[in-house]
Amino acid sequence: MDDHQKLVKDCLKNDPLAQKQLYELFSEPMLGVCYRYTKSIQDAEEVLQQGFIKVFRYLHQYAMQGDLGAWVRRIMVNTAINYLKRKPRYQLDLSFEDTHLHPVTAYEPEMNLNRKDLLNLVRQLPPGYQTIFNLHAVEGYTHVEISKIMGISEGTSRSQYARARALLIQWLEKYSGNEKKDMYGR
Amino acid sequence: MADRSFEQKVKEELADLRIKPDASVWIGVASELRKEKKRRWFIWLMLLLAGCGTASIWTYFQFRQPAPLAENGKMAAIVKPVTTSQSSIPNEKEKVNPVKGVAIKPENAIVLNGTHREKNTFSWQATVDKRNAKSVEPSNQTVTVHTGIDQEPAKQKELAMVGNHVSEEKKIEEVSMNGTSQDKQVFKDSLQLITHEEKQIAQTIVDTPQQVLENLTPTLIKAIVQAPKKWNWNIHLAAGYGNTITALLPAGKSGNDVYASSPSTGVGGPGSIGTPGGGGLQTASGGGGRTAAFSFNAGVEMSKLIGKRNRLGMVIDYSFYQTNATVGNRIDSTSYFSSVNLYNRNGYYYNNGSSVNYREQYHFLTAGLAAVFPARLFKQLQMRWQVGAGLQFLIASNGLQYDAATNRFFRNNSLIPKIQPRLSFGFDFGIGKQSLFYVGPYWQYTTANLAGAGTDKRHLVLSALKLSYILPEKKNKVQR
Repeated sequence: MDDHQKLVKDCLKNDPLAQKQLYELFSEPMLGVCYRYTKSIQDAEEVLQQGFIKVFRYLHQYAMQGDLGAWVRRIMVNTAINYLKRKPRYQLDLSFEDTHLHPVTAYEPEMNLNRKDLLNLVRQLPPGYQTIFNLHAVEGYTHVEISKIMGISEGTSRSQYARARALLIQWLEKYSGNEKKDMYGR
Repeated sequence: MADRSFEQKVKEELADLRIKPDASVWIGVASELRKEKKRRWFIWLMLLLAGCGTASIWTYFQFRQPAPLAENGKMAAIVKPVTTSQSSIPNEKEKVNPVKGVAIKPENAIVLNGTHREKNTFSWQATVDKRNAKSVEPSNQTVTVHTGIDQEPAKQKELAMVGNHVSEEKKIEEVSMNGTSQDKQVFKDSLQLITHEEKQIAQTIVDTPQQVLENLTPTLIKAIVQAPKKWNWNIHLAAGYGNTITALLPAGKSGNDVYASSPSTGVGGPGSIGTPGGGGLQTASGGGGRTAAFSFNAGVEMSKLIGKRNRLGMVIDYSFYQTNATVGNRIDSTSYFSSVNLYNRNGYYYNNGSSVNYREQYHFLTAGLAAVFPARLFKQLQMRWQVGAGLQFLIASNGLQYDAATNRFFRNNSLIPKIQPRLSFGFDFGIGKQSLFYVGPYWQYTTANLAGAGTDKRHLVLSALKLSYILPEKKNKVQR
């Protein structure tokens, strides 16, 4: 923690080496965060770049208390959400029509997937589902917090998450079935 | 509980995901950090300039004294033919505005040239325009001193009476020195506050106009006649068309006249703009290129008299340049542009082509110097030549750059010089008798190259019609 504080202080003095050091410290995990919210690595890198610019711009607001990584991560998540809202191609339409409804389930599939496959499935969710699923399941945001961040009601957040979860489980089952077929050669 | 286990599994798998980013990401971040550093410096500079400007304006209004004359800084005392039977103090109907010459003809006027010296003093040098004075018939005349007094203390009022302070019409106080003894005493008391020599002249004016004429030697006139060296303020607006050219001199071809081939494809002509080959614009017939678009410049100038007629001043203005360009289709993607070693930060770029109209805009703040050389055409028409030089500071731009390696256009303002020297030239003509408005053609040229990539050269130019308004000096109010 002390190292982080010193690093932050050096960055606040506009020390380029310290800035590079801070970037190298967090760029890989933060790109992982950005990647979960976007549909391509280029977009994720763009979010990462914008996020780090914000990190350095607002570093003076870091209170030197708490985990620096968590603070940076929060900025990245916010930057990613802003990016998704701004980019029309993500079509972050959070209103659901009947035709888009997916079954809600409490069923738990067997998680035989590796990290990469799971990540790909999450990233194949529609942008609205993907964002809320990431915020709740991975980042640990409550639905109240998500509703504030996304500008939606808490109920919408809950229902979207449930549907995202159901959709993901459906895909996981299908994926596991295909894996077995391949394994048994049928 | 079951839900939690699912979320836990997902979280375990995904929360600690690590992916190594491309090196270009840091290049982009570092570039933006450098830019912000420069921007901070720029903001401080602008604040400093704004502070200086505010202080100048405050100083100007704070220490500005009652203008000796409403026109050209001259003071006037009016020799007015009166009969011995005339009332000593003219009534309201007889009040005139000697500056505008409504009631006082030139042959009846003696003009005093003077200047203020210090704050709250009316120490002025007085003389008489001999040419006019000669025509004054000394017999059966008396001197009427026209005064306009600002809202100043009583002492100032007396001094102003001595100084023949001319003010607005209907607000002129007149003191005839062959009037009541009280008026005469007030006037003479005030004379104690000016120099002996000036007192002599003033008293002479009052007592005996003929004697004034005799006392006026050419030396005295030469020594005294001078225009007040005050700051003169004016605001201007120049509206016209902006464009880019490759060079100021005619030898350099205009960007609009040059066909260029794309280095990456070898395909020339239409569709390529800004290529490093030279100019890099195609003609309009080729379906695209840069063309002129509405642009303007607006600002404030404060100038001071240098010598007898010329003026030198400081200019602070805002310039808005636009050019029309045609490019290919837009691609929403980030990309790394190897030829300039830069990352595209805007999330899109344009292919080379002519399917999309793109308006490039440049916003600048400028601080500089301007010299004004007045001239007179046909004895009546006021004319001024103007030349200027200054530094433009780029505030914002969406100007496109060309990447030769990918044959694409992209935005990256770090390639545009933030500080650009600017030259300006123009001439204008005064409108009306007082020539407070001037209008005429005006040109601006920036010497810095807008194209940061390759060997392409693009310089901003503005061809405009400029309208200037000279702020009149504050007229004085009479305190009765």
